[in-house]
Amino acid sequence: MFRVRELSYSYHTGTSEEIRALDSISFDIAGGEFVALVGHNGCGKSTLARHLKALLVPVSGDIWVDELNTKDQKSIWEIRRKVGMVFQNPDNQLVATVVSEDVAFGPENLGLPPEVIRERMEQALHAVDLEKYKNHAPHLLSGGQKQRVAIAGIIAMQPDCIILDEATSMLDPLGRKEVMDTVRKLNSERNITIICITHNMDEVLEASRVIVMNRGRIAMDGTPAEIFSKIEKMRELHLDVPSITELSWELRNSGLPLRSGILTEPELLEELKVLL
Amino acid sequence: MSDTALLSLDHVCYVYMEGTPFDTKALDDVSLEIRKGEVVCLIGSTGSGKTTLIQHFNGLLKPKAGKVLLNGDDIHGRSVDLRKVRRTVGLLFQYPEHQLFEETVYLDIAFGPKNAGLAGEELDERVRESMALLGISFEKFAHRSPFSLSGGEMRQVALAGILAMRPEILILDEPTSGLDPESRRSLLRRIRPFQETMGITVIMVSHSMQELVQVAQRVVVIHKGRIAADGTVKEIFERTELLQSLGFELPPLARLMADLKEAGFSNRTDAFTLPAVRDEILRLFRASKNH
Repeated sequence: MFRVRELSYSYHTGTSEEIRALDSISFDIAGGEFVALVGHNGCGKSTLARHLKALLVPVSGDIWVDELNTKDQKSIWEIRRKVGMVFQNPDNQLVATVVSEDVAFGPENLGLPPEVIRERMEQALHAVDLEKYKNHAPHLLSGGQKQRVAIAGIIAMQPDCIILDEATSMLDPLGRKEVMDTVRKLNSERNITIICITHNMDEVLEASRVIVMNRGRIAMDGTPAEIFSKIEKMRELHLDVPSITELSWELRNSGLPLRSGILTEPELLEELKVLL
Repeated sequence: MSDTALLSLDHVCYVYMEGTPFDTKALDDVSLEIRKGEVVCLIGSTGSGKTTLIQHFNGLLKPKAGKVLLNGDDIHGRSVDLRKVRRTVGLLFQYPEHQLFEETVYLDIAFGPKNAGLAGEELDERVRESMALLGISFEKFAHRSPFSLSGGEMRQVALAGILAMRPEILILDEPTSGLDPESRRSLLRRIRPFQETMGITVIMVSHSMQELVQVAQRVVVIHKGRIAADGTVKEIFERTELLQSLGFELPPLARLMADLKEAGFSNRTDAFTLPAVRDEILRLFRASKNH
């Protein structure tokens, strides 16, 4: 789905305040993957995400989205349709006064016939389980519901990938769960590639692959178990580790014969039941 | 009412858009007492009434029925000066970094005390003291523009501006929302010392069960404009059904302790922090080896 080669990007190029945000990054993401992109603020995660949607164009290096190069002006609109993005603040990304119109906004701009627009809108609202709210005003919905309307707007464009840029960080636990349930379903049932930028460890554990960024480079790339077993390295990068993994690590250091790579409470509970 | 209550709500009701089709009862007969020196966490899902509740604490909202009492005085009473109430009760809004406006960090923090009449050395001392409390380096930051700072740093500056008013009560509305883990940790570490070293009473609104364990002594759960539960962290964590119905899950470490107990082990269930849970498991491990 994505092929990134030696991608570099700087802000304020050519001035004294030039900041190298991305420094010769290369990686691939296959169709249908669920990737968590983590790193502390300012590490380049969001800059990278904007490149994947062709909102930014590399200073050097290349990105191909399904063989379309983001530098190629002719491909930009096709890439932006393929890759949808949900942002942090639910109030900043809805445009219409009625939910159904908001979801139909993208397809309308493609100039599709009315019956196709309607069908896409209905399907998209069904996918995020919000049919009931079709005629509601978006500003009266909860934060989680607003984010799902934003996701429906993307679904209506029939995308191959959805990028969530800290999309749950302003939501309460119920809203967070609603959004993550929706995303998981889209990934498993429709094979939509998910790239989730997050600080939330529970969300990282949902992913099948974690990419850790630091100072514009990729610091680690692996499964959640591989990444979190390197606790010292994660601490060095000022990142959180799931509390259960940290506890298991400390217990192992204190002499308990636990296996490495424990991520969740049920896993540790089973091990402890045998040991204690 | 007990005579030790610093701040209390007495049968408070509040309604938004009263008399319209959108009439919403945000607070429904809420009574609550906050005692001096407490560190209280308010939890509840979006729309539960948490923010409405704390806006009553410093008189930003006036109850439709009931009273808000500060040191026993009705803050909307005729003899009470609301400006003084707002100096006593400092409120850090959500996303306070949007409220910074001065040219330098120093001026921004000095704004409140200056308006309260402070000047010269006294004012300077206030600003330095507040910055020190939050671990903001004076040399490095005082003369920088607040807009050149990172999100986490901006939020600390906003909080320093409130502390510079030397409030007796500090209210924090989701202070860590949207911060990265490092900034979140560094902010949370500062909260308990406000109470421990300065004697400030702290009320914090949070969505995170993990934060609550690190900060609070007492937890108040708000649901549909009412107080659904009020107690110590341990007491609240035992109300698993209530928490689940509100979408709050026990933090994994607390759940581990509860599950071990249920599996028949003789562990404490009031260990919530990592060192406490680790020590408790090590104790069980040693005991099992001795058998």
